[in-house]
Order: sequence, then structure tokens, then C-alpha cells
Amino acid sequence: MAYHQPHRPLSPHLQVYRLPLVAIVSISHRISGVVLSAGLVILLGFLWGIAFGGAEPAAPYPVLRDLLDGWFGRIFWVVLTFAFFFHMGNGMRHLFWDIGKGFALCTARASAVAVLVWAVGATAVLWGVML
Amino acid sequence: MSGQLSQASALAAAKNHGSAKSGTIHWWWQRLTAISNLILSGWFVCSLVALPDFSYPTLRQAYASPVCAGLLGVFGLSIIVHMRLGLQVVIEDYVHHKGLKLFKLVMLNLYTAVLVGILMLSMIKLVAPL
Repeated sequence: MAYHQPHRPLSPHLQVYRLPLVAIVSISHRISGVVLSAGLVILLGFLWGIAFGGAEPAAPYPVLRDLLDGWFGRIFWVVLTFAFFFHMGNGMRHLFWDIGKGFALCTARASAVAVLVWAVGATAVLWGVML
Repeated sequence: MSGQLSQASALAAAKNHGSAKSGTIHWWWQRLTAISNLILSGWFVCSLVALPDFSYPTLRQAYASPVCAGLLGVFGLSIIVHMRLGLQVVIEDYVHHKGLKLFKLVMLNLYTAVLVGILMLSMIKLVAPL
């Protein structure tokens, strides 16, 4: 155990260590994945309501629609679409790493910035098109 | 899965090969579904943006065609499998209590099955209204 060997190097203490951009993007991939998992249940709720509805939508649809009306809904959809585009962009970054490309530190930094620009841009364009 | 939860023999556990034998299929499915998610997301976003509005009748009419409902079903399955694999890793990494970890992994499998059930029933109902 590292605690009993004071001269051994320690991994960064997350409370005091300022994470570099690549590390922030890395953990954000997980966070956005969990956010998207939560969003999936909501979307399936809408789907169920659409599929089982007649002239009017069925059970969870009206509740979800009313819940996601107004400012709370705006925040929800913008956060969900941002998480979607971010996870998509950073996922492609992972696929490039899987085929052995893009490991150089300067490349990894540049691709991290590119993913952020893509996620912000795509979210803005999507809501610009829709609103 | 950690060594304690697997069925690895004492020799395999001692040689520390227990987890490596079942890890590649997880990795591989995560990548396969990542690629199918990527392709089907493109279709899904385009199909949504092309709609005149997001009202109930519009959505119902748009996705009730067999092709659209079928694509939505495949997309949903791909997403659910990818979610299942990703959340498994999150649980394995952050839940340290052995019993609680096993419980949460079992709950994740149940949750996944429920989501697949919701998706499949919705697909059938969309295409063939009873």
C-alpha cells in the first residue's frame, strides 16, 4: 500500500489537482454517457405513449410533455442534445485511438478541443434550426 | 467481472487470467454498437429535423411506417446494448462493496430487459395497431 511507503509516487489527489483539458474531456465522456442513459428512459416513455395512443397519446406521454414544458424542459433538451453530440464526437475520438491513431499529446489535446467545438456548435445549430 | 465473482478455476485465478478471457467480447460489442449508434443517430436526427413539428399526430404518422419503425427498433436495441455495457463499467469502477456491486449489476440486467421489452412492444404496436 502506498500509504506505508511515503517515497512512492502517488496518483493525483482529485481535490487539489487541477485536471488538464484531456482529463476533463475523458471523465465527461462517462458523465455524458450516464446523462444519455437517463434521457433514453424519457425517450422510450414518449415512444410508448406514441405507439399505444389513439386519437390522443397514451399514458406517460402527456405527463412527460407537461413535465418538459417551459424552462425546465428547455434546459433538459439542451443538456441532453449537448451530451449526445459530445458523446458522439468523443466516441469517434475513442474509435480512432482503437485503430492506433491520435495518441500524441498534441494530437490528443487538439482532438479534445475539436470535440468540444463540435458539441457546442452542433447543439447550437440544431436548436437554431429547430427554433 | 472481478475474480471473486467469476467461475475461474484456482489455477486460472492464480495465473491472473480470469478476467482477460471475458473482457474482449465486452470491448468488441461496445465498439460495434458505437459504430451502429453513430450511423443510426445520423438517420434519427435527420428524420426528426425533417418533421414540420413535434406534435403527437406528426410523430405517430412519421414513425408508424414499417421502415421507420424498424430502423427505430434497431437503433433502440443498439443504444440499449451500448448503454448496458457502459453502465456495467461505471458500476464496476465506482461500486466497491462486493455484494452491492453484484446487486447493482443484476438490477442493470433487469433494467435492460425491461427497456428492451418496452421498445419491442412499442415497435409491434406502432406497425400493427390492434
